[in-house]
Amino acid sequence: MSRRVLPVLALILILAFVEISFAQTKAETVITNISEIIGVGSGFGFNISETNYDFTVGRIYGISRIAGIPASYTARPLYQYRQAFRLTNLGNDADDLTEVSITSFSNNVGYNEADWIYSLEFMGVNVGTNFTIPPQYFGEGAIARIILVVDIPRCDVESVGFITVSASTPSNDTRLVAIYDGFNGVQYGGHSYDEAELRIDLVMPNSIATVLATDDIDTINVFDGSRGLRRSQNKVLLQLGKAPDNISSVKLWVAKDTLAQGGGENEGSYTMAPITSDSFIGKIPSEYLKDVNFVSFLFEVDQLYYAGNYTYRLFDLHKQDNYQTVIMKNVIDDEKGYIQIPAEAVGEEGRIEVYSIAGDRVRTILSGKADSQIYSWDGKDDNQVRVHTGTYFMIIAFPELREVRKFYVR
Amino acid sequence: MKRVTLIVLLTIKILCISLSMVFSATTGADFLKLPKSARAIGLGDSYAAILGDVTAMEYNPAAMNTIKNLAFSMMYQMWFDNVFSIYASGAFKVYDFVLGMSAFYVDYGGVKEYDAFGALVYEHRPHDLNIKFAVAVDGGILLPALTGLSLGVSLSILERTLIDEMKMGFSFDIGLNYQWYMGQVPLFTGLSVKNLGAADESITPVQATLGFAIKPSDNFLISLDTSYEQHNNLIFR
Repeated sequence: MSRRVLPVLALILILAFVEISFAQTKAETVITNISEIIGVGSGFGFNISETNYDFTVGRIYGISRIAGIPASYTARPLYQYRQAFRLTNLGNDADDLTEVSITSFSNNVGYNEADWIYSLEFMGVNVGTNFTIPPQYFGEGAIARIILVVDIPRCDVESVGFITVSASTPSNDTRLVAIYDGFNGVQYGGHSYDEAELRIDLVMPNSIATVLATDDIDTINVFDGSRGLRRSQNKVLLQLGKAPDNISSVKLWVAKDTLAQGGGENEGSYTMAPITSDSFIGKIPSEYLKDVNFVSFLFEVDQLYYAGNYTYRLFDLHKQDNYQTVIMKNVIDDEKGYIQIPAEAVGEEGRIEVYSIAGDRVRTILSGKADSQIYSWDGKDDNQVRVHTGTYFMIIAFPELREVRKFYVR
Repeated sequence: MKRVTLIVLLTIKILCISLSMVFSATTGADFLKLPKSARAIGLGDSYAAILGDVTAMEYNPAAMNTIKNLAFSMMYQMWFDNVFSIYASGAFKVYDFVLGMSAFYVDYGGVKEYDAFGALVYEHRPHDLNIKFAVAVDGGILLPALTGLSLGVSLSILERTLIDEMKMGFSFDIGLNYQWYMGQVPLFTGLSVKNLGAADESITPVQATLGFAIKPSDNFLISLDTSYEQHNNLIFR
């Protein structure tokens, strides 16, 4: 051979060696059957997030990825969460035997009285929490669909659950196919196993956003009930946050001088009428407001109780020295101010008007027969334009009553 | 040029505020509409054409022009429901000019704040103050043809002490006054535009008044004012 041929032959030999080496390595890496387990989000009523996508073993030995599609709450709670996983067999397993199980499951302590129940479904057949995928369903290249089912009993607390789903190929423990000394330093022949953890945030459908007490004269946005209720306030306005689109029933449970309890243990429940999709109004029986120190409320929305701390003291109106009329909130921002005239004035002809400091009449509130004890002023003039900041004078004129009361508009 | 620009900007500002508040029946300085002169009240607040009184500066600043030396005035007024006002003014002649100054204080008598249950929360003491500077002169020193025509202008600084803040404002008054005779009977004519300004994010209560007065004898005076007030129809006094 000439000197020119020798280097060419040497190069060919080197390339052949390298090719053989790589080919052998490739063959050793594809030794297990589970390539990935992928969650397909199907739940609703829950927020789903994943805390562990990466697996310690890697693609070769076990589960490579598990994923759920986060779903935000958009409808009434079903209280059953279903999450589908897809398991793919890459082949080269000794007997195509694969086990899937829930290795841990927990939810927060606030849910102790009603435990979550979980199970696995395969091909539509409930097989419990640990099962083996039959080989006939999981041959080389097969894709198995497993569904995690979580039944969450009704409860009025929010909760967080942690679920760990595992898959393994136990047959590979006992049957040596090849030796792998690659990724993660794990040798073939070990347990081909991995797991993924899901977190489920159970979001309650409703929350009490606002509770207001109202008078007959005005059904919305009268008084914030958080400080107490006047004995003349006989309606409760409930506004829900995160309200679902379809609420079938809202009830107001009322108790006097004790804490309200749902389920018929207190004195009565009353259906609250819808005002808007998320606002409801209910009436407290007038006898509840007499001769008691406080009333308490409990709201029932679609058979769930929202206890909260809605216990309100009852107040009589304060008498105001030298006046027969009683002013309730006379420094006005965006809300209204109120005045209560004496009961004797009801039915009498009279007028209630608001004047500026210059003596200009700003608003006529009543002109004629009084049909109520309570009247309000919203800080607007007769053209429904808000007046300027300052002091205004309400003239109350009836046959036996003539008083001037001051209001202030911020 | 700078002054012209300033005046234009000021006018635009006032117009902007006016447009935003044009539908409101109230202004941020309605207290300026309160009467300030006992003599004017005696004449039904018809005072735009009356000469020679220091309180004339509140109705027509040009009417101060006939003050010869010094003049003072003071008034305490109970309005209603503990609201009261105090007014003091003075004017003196310097060469051909009459300079005047007044202070007008309105106290709302305290505003008791009640909560939703009728309980007393706090007692506030809102009040308003108006300090006014005025000058009047005979038109003859500006233009010989204007001799006998009195001219006047005033500037007011407004301070509103509200229950939780204090706000400032300003306003101008301008006026003309002319006296002539019908035989031996003096006649007076006055024209004034008052409260051209802004306070508390609103215009002040602008009022334009045309007044006539006749004095058949030393002890007898007849006066008539016709006013146009913001948000009001024509007012005859």
